[in-house]
Amino acid sequence: MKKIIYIFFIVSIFMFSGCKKDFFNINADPNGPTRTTPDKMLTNVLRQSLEMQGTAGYGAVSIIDQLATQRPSHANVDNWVGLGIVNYSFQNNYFLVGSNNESMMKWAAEESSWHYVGVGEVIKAITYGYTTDLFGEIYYDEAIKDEIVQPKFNTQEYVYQKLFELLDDAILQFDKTSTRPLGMEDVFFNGDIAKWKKLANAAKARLLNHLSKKAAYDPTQILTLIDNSLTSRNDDAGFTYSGNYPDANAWAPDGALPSSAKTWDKYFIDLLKGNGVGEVVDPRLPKIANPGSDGVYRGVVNGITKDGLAPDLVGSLWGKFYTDNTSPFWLFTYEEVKFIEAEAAFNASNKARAYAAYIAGITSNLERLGVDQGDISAYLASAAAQNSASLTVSNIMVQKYIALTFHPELWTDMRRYDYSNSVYPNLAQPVGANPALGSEWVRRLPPFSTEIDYNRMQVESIGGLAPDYIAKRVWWDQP
Amino acid sequence: MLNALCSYAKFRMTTKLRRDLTKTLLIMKFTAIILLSACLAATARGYPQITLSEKNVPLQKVFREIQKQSGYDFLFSYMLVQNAGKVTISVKNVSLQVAVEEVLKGKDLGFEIMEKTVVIKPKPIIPNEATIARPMRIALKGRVVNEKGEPVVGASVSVRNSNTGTMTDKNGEFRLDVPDGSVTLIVSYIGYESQELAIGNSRSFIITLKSSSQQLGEVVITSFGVKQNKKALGFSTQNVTGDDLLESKQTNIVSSLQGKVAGLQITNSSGIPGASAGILLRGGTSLDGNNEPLFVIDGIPMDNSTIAEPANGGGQLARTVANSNRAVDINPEDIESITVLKGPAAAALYGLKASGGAIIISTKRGVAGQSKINYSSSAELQQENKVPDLQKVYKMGTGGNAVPSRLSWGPQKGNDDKVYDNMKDFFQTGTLYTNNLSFTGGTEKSSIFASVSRTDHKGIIPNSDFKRTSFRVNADANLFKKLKLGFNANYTNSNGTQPLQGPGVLNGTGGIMTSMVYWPLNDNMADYLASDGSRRRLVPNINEDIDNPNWSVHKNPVTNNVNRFIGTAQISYDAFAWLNLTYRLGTDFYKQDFQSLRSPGTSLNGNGNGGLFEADYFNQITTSTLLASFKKSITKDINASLLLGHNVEWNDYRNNSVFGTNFINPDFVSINNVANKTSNQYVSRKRILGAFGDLQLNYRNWWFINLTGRNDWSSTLPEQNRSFFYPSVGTSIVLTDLFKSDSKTISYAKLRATYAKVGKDAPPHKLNTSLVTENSIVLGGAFGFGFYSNNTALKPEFTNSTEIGGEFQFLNKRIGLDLTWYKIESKDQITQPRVSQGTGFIFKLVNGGTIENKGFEAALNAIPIQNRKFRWDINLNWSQNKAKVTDLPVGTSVFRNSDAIAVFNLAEGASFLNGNLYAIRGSTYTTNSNGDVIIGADGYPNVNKSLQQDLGVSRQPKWIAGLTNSFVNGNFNLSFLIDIRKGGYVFNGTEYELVKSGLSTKTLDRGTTTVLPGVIETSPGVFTPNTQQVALDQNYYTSIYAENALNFIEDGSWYRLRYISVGYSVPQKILNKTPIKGLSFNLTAKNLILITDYTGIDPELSIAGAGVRGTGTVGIDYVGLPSTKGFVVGLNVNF
Repeated sequence: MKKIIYIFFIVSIFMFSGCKKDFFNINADPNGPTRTTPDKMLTNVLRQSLEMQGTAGYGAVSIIDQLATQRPSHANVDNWVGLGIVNYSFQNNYFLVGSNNESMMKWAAEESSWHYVGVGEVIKAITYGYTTDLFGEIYYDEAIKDEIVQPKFNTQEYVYQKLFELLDDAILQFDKTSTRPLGMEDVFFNGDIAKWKKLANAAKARLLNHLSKKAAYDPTQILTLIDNSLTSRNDDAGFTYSGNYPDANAWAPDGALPSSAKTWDKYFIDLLKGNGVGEVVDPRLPKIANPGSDGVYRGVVNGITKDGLAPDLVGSLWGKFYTDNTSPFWLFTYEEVKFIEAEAAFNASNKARAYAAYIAGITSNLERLGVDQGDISAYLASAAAQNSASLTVSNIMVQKYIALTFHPELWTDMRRYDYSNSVYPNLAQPVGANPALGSEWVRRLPPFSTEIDYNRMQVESIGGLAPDYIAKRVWWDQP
Repeated sequence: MLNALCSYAKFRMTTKLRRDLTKTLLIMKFTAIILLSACLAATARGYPQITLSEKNVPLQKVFREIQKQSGYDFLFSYMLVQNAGKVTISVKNVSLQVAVEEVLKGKDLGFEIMEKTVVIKPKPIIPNEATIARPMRIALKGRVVNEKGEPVVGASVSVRNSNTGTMTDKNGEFRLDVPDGSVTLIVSYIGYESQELAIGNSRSFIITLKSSSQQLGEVVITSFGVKQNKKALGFSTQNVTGDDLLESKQTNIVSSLQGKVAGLQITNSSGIPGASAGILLRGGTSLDGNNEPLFVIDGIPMDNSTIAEPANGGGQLARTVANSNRAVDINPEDIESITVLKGPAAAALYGLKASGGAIIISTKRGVAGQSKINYSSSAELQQENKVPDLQKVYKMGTGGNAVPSRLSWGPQKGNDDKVYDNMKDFFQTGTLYTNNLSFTGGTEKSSIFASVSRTDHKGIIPNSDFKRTSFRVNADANLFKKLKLGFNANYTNSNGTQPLQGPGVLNGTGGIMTSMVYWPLNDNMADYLASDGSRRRLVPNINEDIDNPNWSVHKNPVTNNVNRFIGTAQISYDAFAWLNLTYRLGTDFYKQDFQSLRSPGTSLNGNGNGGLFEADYFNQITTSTLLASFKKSITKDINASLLLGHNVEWNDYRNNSVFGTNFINPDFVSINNVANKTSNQYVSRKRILGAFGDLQLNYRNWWFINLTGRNDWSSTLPEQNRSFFYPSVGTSIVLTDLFKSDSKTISYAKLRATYAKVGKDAPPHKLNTSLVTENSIVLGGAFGFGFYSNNTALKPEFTNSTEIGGEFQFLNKRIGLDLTWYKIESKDQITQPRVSQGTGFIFKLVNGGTIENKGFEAALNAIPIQNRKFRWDINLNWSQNKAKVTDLPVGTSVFRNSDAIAVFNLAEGASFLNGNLYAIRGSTYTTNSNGDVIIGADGYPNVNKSLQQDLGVSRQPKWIAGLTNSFVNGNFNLSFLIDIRKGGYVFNGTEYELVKSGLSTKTLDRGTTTVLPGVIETSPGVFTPNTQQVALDQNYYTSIYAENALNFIEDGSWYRLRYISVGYSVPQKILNKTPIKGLSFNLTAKNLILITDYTGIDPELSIAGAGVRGTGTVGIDYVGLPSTKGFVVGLNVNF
């Protein structure tokens, strides 16, 4: 008996030791590597930054009356009750862009590919910029650290400081010799470092321009940056999409944003029809929107859904300049630079420069949308376009509102001007506006749902669970 | 052998070698089968023949001699045998039965033969009236048959309180002269319940024995096919015989377990042929892991997975198809019995895969001396069980206007308007045919069971079907005296066609049920083709249109085809009387081909120009098990047995899929005909090594102690955490044996308790975070990170369970009761919770989270009436379970079941910290601190969709019960199963869609005005009741009422008559002159009655099927397809 037991055990032990190592050595993931070179990450990072901007714009323009609800399922976005379903730009900043961008920068630095580091920093500054503008306090120092599951918020003031540092550092990185040069993977500029530097300056100008309520606001610093930024549409940071999902523009029917429930807002369509813009019909109207079945252009009043109207009287959102599968989409445009310049120059009391930038912005945008030269001239000569003497901030901001359709910057602008009727003519709160706000306007987006569920203490620390939290102004929105 | 095993592991490194080896194994197996079949040519009666010649020796010595000659073990109390004195005996070539009878002649001892064991028992004390000697003897005769009317050969027939007894012959007949005045005849046979009959004035008897499931001395199969005396078990098990399984006439063996076992919850997913059935034992132990028990067939683990979501489905396939759980590949008629090991305790020896319990399936084997051909056939007609009520007043339109729309918010129908019952018109009568042919036979050297079966199921939905063809050969051979070989081989082909049933748990169009809950009543859905043969559109605008279900079932079918082989080879060597060595090698592998077609013209998002998804899955589990089983008497009172085992398991999985859109030729179905295609591959491998021991101590046959220990090494954990050990300890005390009680009132009483711990490893390849190329995540090619962040520091998770129970039998075993209380705690779970976005990922793999399950189970069986002609059996299984989350990973407060989202941002399955595991999270009206609904200035409440919360309901039932009644009267039998579920809430997502579409009866109030209940905030913090009149219009229903998930929470309690079955066995008298040995007919009605307050399709449905992890979609009804009811006629014939 003993013999048998011995044999059994000896053989068992032999088995364990004999093939244990090889036997278990099969757990490396056969489905994907854990590391690659930065060029293999770049295209994704750039394209995801556009997607991120799309989702940031989705929340913003649902609030500022460019986009309204067609079907009831999203009605309470319009009246600011359910803004928690248009705030996933928060997720996309960290998940779609951030996780990839941080690894790209790390792997690039490890092989001294400094240009990739610079690009990563510019993209990070822009996308974190959108995120803090929408949400106020965000994760910065403790974001995307493998060992941290519940990161802490940083204040917006701190984040802005860090973003300025990032952009300054990016310029330094672009001046270094990079082991691996930027190539075709750079779908924005095809490896043109000069354009990246211009973009870094433009991005810094944009952020500085947000501080218009702050004592530190310095329009001349912005104008200096503008001098070294985009000089034509040729410098635009953008991408032209090639077709169906996932290669469709975010704002197209096949794109990443929820498509079926949305339509144009009446406020935006009325603006394009000249209401408040010198009663001149904007030649961009047929480029941007579709008319209803009777040939009349209509939008939907925010807070009131299309159901109940004969549906075909409201034109489809799809297939126009911004909403085709193959539409281009930009992270930064020359027009935005011109309107930042116009505003800064105006505030610096340089009306001539403000006017020149204002006209250049309008002209470039009309050209971009393919308006005939004759119509461009007629529009610039009409009551819609001001002359140098009559130019107001309102004129600049309304033209920026039209030229930057779908852009998250528009909401930042509107908050900076406190939704003023004198800046945005005829702007009104939506029907059934969220009663929790009293009569206040929305000043930020609610905390993203995952943060309420999985990092609740942090959300509580910023008062994020209060029903009127979305009326709380972000740092730059306060004097 | 072990060396071969080691090299086998190395062989697997190359595919070709692996293929070759598999082929070789197959050839070996089939060769063996052919040889064995040849051996069967001659059949002979194979009983051990015993010759004894002893003078004045102790009984033990004679027993040893008999044991040597027969191979049968003896089980007895020393004291008893010692007191019986010595024996002198001389017999030649007699049967075991006769030999033992001779040995015990004149002693106060009786015996019983169970399986391979002879149990020696004291003879009951003889009561007075029977002691009066009467010289007269009466001749009795009779016939003993089983429930199918087949003769029971070798049954023991005896007279109570006398030495008179005999055995039945090959026709099941007996003749017996009994002393006049004998009162009771006792008939018994192993595997059947003993019957006692009053003799009275009868002289001729036909006795039907009923197969036993709860019997003293019953043998149950626990780990690795090891048989154990049920007396000795410290934990609860329940056994279901093959016949009981067949009673419910289910295609899927999982469904057929419904109501048969306490603590077992079965959830069918839909009425689509082949649809999965989920199975849960004692609640869920994992937040998002697999909660299903391990399936073991003939000693090897078997895959019962369900595809939850084919990867790369283009966003549409996801959870829209009623995939099968792979146990559907098993032919129910091949099953001899299923033993359900309910908790981790019962399954400690199966290791990490069994932390949710185990379902141990034993298939039929050949029996020596009984050559038999069995043919059975059944035909079933099916129809839909329950569909929701729809309003029949309002027509297509919106805002009360008759405009083209998929909505029914138009005007009222006029008197002349034609309306249609589109849903009812859509379903057809389904048919289900099964045919099964089997052969059993054998000699004392070898035996065989072979079967072939075919199932053809056409569903109640047009163009849906499920077909299964199965072949099985189980062969056993006794090569030498002590060496036994066993082979099992099962090949199955399962294939079917299904519709896209609904959006699953994702929102979207395309499911046939989604379309049906929208189809306006004034449009004839049956008219689905335009004059040019294209799809007739409901609404001209393609973006607003929905697919017509009649068009979908033909144009957007989902098909799959599975080829599967399960095979084992086993060698068993009785080295000594006290040592058995067994080695078993088994494999279960299948390839599944899956195709989903979306024809051009569909409204499915992104597939308008045609779409095709094709995937193939390969899965293989190979196991090698070595067992050494020792038996030893330590002292004269203590017997011990020890099982040592070694187990290696290889898991291989591969999935290749390709998805294409934009057909070049619109009607040519091939992946070569698409303009855009993307492909994807997922491969996973896992290896587990285990070593275990199981020590059983038996003190005087009334006190049993059981200690087990197992160490596992898993490839999926980091090297430093790879090895982990877990023990169990159990005990049982048979009170009736302890006190040598002979009470008839309490015939049997046993108490038991077990503590067990089971470890569990991680999913494979989850240590480092890998880059992905999925093009929904990575834009522009190359690499990016996906949703999941992995973890290099994973540890094994552990489940601790404690259970206490008792088994009691009363009134001469006429009533049996089994009670169990348990507590199961799963700690440090390996889960993938959603985490803060600040991590850069959506999910992160962590150790964390604790679930506590507490429950109570009761199984009651009783025989209220039993006499010569009539017998009534009752079986009741009752259980309750409470699953509580006592800790969640990484400081979070809610764990969302990602796969159980019913309606995005409206309701989903979730688990809350210190709350229910089976909770529902959803959006509600905003309320004040009193819980009153706050009404806004416009008179309507607001829904805050961005703040979803615990709706305070549990999807887990308060208790479930299954009550089986069966009656046997002569040649007739009747049985029925009542299935009861009490409590457990259901989210009625179907009603939600109906409200949105305007077809819900809840919207019939439209156009009226009312004051909505709630309060108005007159000044901050001051609330007064609302008095404002508001209109109940489309906007109210669709954007306010519908967005409050609480409006769709319903009680899911039910009573249902699962089946009722009537059978008739043709009397033997009629069959005697035919070659037919047995012939029976049966008629079964399935799901005949369903009583429930639930207004949706069926409270039982789990919309995303059994493949969903964690708590699954139990209690989430979202436009699933109805279950079925049916009538079955069946026939069973033996030759």
